Amino acid sequence: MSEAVIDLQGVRKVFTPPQHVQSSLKEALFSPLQLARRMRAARFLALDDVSLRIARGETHGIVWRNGAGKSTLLGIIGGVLRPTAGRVRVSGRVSPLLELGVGFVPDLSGDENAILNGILLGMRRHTIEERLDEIIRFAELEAFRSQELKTFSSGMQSRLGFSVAVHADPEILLVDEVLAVGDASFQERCLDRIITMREAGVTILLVSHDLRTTERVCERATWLEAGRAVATGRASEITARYERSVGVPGASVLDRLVGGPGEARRL
Amino acid sequence: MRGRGLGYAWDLIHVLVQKELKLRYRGTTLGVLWSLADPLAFALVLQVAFRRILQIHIENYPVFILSTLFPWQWFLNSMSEGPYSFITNGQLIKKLPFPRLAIPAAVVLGDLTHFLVTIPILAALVWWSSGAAPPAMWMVGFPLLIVIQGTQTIALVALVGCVTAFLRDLGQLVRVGLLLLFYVTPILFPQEMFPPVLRWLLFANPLAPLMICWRELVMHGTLSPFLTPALAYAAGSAALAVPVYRRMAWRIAEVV
Repeated sequence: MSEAVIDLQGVRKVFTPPQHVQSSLKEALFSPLQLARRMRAARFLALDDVSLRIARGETHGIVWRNGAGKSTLLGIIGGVLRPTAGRVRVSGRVSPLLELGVGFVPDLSGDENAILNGILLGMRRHTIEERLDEIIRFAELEAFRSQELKTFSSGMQSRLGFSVAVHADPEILLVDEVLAVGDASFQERCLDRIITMREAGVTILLVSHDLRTTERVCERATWLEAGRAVATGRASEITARYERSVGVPGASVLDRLVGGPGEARRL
Repeated sequence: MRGRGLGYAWDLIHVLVQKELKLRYRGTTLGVLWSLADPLAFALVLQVAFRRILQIHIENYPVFILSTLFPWQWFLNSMSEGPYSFITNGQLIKKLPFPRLAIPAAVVLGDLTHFLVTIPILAALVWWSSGAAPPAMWMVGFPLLIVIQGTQTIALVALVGCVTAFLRDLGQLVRVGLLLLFYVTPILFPQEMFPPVLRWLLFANPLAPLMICWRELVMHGTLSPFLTPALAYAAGSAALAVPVYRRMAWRIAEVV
């Protein structure tokens, strides 16, 4: 169980903001040196020497403040971005729940969107078609599946997106703030499903602003601050240290659900 | 990207093409047949302009013009929309690590479906004008030329698309270029009407050999000797596109 499925070593990522990369033809042709200088000046360091090992079957949380490089880190693990320096090894199929329903098309039906989304997540068409009924049932959309997606509420769209993603047989699940969408009962269902997947041995990287959720779901956690992984350890320790440093007691969805802070651990 | 095999690549391109076609023709009565409207209207204008006004006589002008206008339209559609396809699909590219080449491939294959619709029209016109069914060579020639043109167009769309993501002017420049290219490609008139001093254009123009092949195939049922330069241009475009794509495609997620 200790084999690392996500292994980042000394990962560094330097970005040039898009508005500086997209240049006009005029500038590229007539003042390439000035353009190069401008691009160099605009560069910023999103990740600086981040090392992170996540074992197979582990549930790992990330705590961070805005601008800490979280999206960049998830992009690199998800295979969308490449590091400027350092080594990245990710073994197993990654299903990014970065945003539910990426690529959903309002003018296509629920079924058609599930198929499109599933293929974009890396599934074969025949696999999705076999599981389509199950996907729709989990999302509780049986009555709406042939309607155009634009008639769906945002909660319904999130349910569909979540359902497709968890049916894509991920070996690694990147969960980014999905628990902040939908109503409370949907959030609870998502969480239940994630816990079931964890029990089935799926590696989970959870990125949530809700420290109580991080504590409840994750064994270990990493604190990301200004592009650096400042601490890694037991989830409850990391969230406690983070909380002390930031001074914001994470208002928890879970607290509301279970009727107060009694059940969730307070530190 | 990740090795998911050809079966997955096919599923991905297929679903992207399906999406495009469904969206484009949603709620229209004629559906994909609408793609015939542009080249047919243009051919009608040319028929009147060349025959009635300019009094230029070219044998069997409707077949002559449509044999190249239909494949040209395929190329034109892909090249004018294609370079922006990475940008318009930016949300997908930023979030999911599927092979980016699927996007230009889906554009070109989507436009290919429109071209396929035109083949029965060509066959009917040939039948009507010559009184005989199209020659058996079509069974070989059409797939062959479709593969050549498809490869060349996917390569060029991917190439221009990668650069356009960083340098947005390029896509517009290409549109103007296509307009000029049309008039130095033997589409409106046969290559023999090119003034001898401009003959080199037939070889310098990456589309001219291919268009000559289409015309020979449709009008005479033969494979033109221009097949070799057409193949060379397709292979050359791919050889040019692959390294650029390898170097730039993964960076698109950072700029769209």
